Amino acid sequence: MSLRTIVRALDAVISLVPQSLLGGPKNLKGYHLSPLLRVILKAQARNKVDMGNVEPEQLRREMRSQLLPLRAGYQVGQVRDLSIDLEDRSLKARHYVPSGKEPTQGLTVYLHGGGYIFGDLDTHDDVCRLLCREANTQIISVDYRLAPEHPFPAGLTDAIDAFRWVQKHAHDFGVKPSELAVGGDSAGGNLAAVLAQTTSSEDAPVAQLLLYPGTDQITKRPSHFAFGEGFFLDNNDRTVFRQHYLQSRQDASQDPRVSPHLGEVSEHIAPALIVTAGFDVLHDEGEAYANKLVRAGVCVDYMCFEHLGHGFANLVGIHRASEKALIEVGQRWGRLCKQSAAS
Amino acid sequence: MKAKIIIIGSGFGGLATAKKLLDEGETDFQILERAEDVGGVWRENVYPGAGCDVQSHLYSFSYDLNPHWTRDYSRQGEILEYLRASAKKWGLLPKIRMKEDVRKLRWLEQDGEWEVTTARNVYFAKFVVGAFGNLSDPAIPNIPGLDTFEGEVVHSASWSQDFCHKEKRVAVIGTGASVIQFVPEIQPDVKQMSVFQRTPPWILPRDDNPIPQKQRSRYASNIWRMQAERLRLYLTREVNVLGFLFPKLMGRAERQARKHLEASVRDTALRAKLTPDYRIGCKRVLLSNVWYPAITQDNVEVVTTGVASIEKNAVVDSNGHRREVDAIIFGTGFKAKDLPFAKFIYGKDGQSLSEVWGDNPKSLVGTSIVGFPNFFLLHGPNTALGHTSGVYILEAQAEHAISGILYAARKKKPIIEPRQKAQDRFTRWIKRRSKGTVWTSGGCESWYLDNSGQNSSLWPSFSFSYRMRASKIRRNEYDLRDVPGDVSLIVTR
Repeated sequence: MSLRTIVRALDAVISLVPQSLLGGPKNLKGYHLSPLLRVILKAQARNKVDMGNVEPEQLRREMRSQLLPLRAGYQVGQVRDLSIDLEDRSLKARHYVPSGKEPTQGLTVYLHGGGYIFGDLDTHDDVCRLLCREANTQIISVDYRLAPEHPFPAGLTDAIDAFRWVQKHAHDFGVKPSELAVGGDSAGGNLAAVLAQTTSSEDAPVAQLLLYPGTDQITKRPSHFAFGEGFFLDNNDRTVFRQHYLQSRQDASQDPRVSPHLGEVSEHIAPALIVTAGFDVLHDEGEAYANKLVRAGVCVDYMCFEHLGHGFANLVGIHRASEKALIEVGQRWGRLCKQSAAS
Repeated sequence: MKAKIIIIGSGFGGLATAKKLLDEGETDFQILERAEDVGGVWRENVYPGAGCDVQSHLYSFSYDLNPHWTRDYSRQGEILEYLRASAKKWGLLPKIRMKEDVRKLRWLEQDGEWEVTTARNVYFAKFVVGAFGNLSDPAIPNIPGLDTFEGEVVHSASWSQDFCHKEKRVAVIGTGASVIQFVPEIQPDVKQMSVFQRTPPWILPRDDNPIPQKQRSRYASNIWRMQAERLRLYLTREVNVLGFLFPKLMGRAERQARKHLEASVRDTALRAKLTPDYRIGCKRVLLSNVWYPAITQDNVEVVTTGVASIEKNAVVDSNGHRREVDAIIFGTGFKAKDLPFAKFIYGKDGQSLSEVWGDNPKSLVGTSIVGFPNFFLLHGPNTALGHTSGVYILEAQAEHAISGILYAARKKKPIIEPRQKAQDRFTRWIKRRSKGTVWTSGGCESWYLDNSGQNSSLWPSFSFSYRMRASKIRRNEYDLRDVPGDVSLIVTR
């Protein structure tokens, strides 16, 4: 029996028990953490990777070995690896095409999470498959360069160059250049937000999907204190990520290309679907950014999954509540893409 | 822009609906707000002395008790801060689209959705929850010559920060809930004030004290203390319903009000002017300790002869007596009868809500209306209260709307609409219950009664009985159906 089967069975069993009997941590709004996530947190605490003291390569191997066995491998129409050949380098990428007879809703360039230092096409394979299936949109997941070997702005440059490349080759994928959207989770969500904010109007994405993004390296917010320790993503982890990503340029924290919340936004920025989780150190950053965009007049669909934590999209293979959440995100993402492409 | 649910308004009603939707795990909604801030009536009414007539520990969300209220009866500023904090706390701010003034709502039967047109955008939603508020649009009476007046004109609900009353001669028109709050505030600073009174209100003393810091920290450390206080306030107020239902019981309250008047006003001629000639409760009962002392001051005159016309620098009463004034303040309340939003909501038959309603608004439990599918109205007909917190009713209405939405989703039907029979039965019940109450038999004219003389504003019973009746829909009172012609359009959750 695989680990995945065991965890899924466990999830099925605990979800039969009423929440009131289980208790457990509550967030600031009084919602409980999903029971299986408590188990996962316990397990995670036992073999926690000390991000500061391992070699990046080893960390990446470690995360792969943790995440890959959880994959469900959702069925989509077609998946193939491709290479984005830029002038001086080429990036690996993976292209997902939805099945079904209905015409697809454009194409989303997806940027995986992992604190700018880990994560790859395989660790986020399930996320892309599920989004592709539910949103009925093609997805190209991009393997951008990671820190500390390639610090800021390398990852961002890759993301933007990859987006431009897809735009140039849009017709090869059967979509119009004006139907391209961008999306990402966590650090990838940060890159997606920056991409949407900095690209000029003619080659800007038509919509942006930000899954529990980091948006502000400067301002301290309540969720940083409430969930800064012992909940999926720690403040320590964030410090390590920042050190690796920004390296000697710590002052770059204020750069809107690092902290998009500090940037100028106009109402012409791409419509956004912003998703946060109730037990996430980054919850307030995502919410604040959603609020900022709404105030600027951007069309924003905001959803918070109160019972889930940071990185829930990586747990879809083993946790029903996370899976349901990402399905809902996918459907709303499909609707937003359709609507934005039409207008 | 598309959303499953659109909520219009971000006052107490809109915010409660949104929070309760989130509790159900429903995030597919948008709130449209015409101003740039939350707060509804508490954002609009910024006249001096604006405050609530219900104790704050009761006049607050059941899910968001606030230990920090500084007085028993909070002022507007504190209530607005509470609403802002509440919206932020529950993560509702990103869901609110500000500066979206809804101009038109149209039901599209073919698509099974509402088209919501604002001044800037068009939205489409499967469900609409209208939390417009029935005290949102100021009413200014049509007095001849008002447009020729050269001084300043303000209404209590649109009090401008630029308006300065100091050392001015002012005319105050009306003696309703707002007037008795702002007159004592501005009276010491004005040169001369003429208060034009049509009907004197019944006024009871207001037992309003600051809540000491010690008490507040006790509330903060133990939520059950706060709950107990809330329950105590609720029960003491709820008993008063009996008086409204059986006017004979009102004697004690009237004696109390008379004693209050006699103690405050020595001048018998003035006292006679201020003594109501109808049963207490027929119009809204007001609370104040400072109103009578203020209007007995030398610079205040109470005029009961009515306003006949207005000239460029004066107000003329019906005896032809001219009073020169520099400013006119209207405390004439709101368009509570001819509700402005009813004119731009178009239902199934293409008729507007105000056409359907005519002089006599009808609904099912004050929340849904035959001919207006997938639409829930907060603060609808027969949901106002004369005795306790309106927030309590709004929460029950929000729950009613949500239970309707969830019921339709569970049955996989996109359209839900009240049955004609159910609405008729409810209307008949209201009519029967209103008979003999102080509102219909108390001998006064009030905004509680509609143009046909029926009670279509107030809930003629206990507030808990409303909650029991409304917070869940009754299945046999609603019809579920598919979108005509297109069965594939099924709402999924």
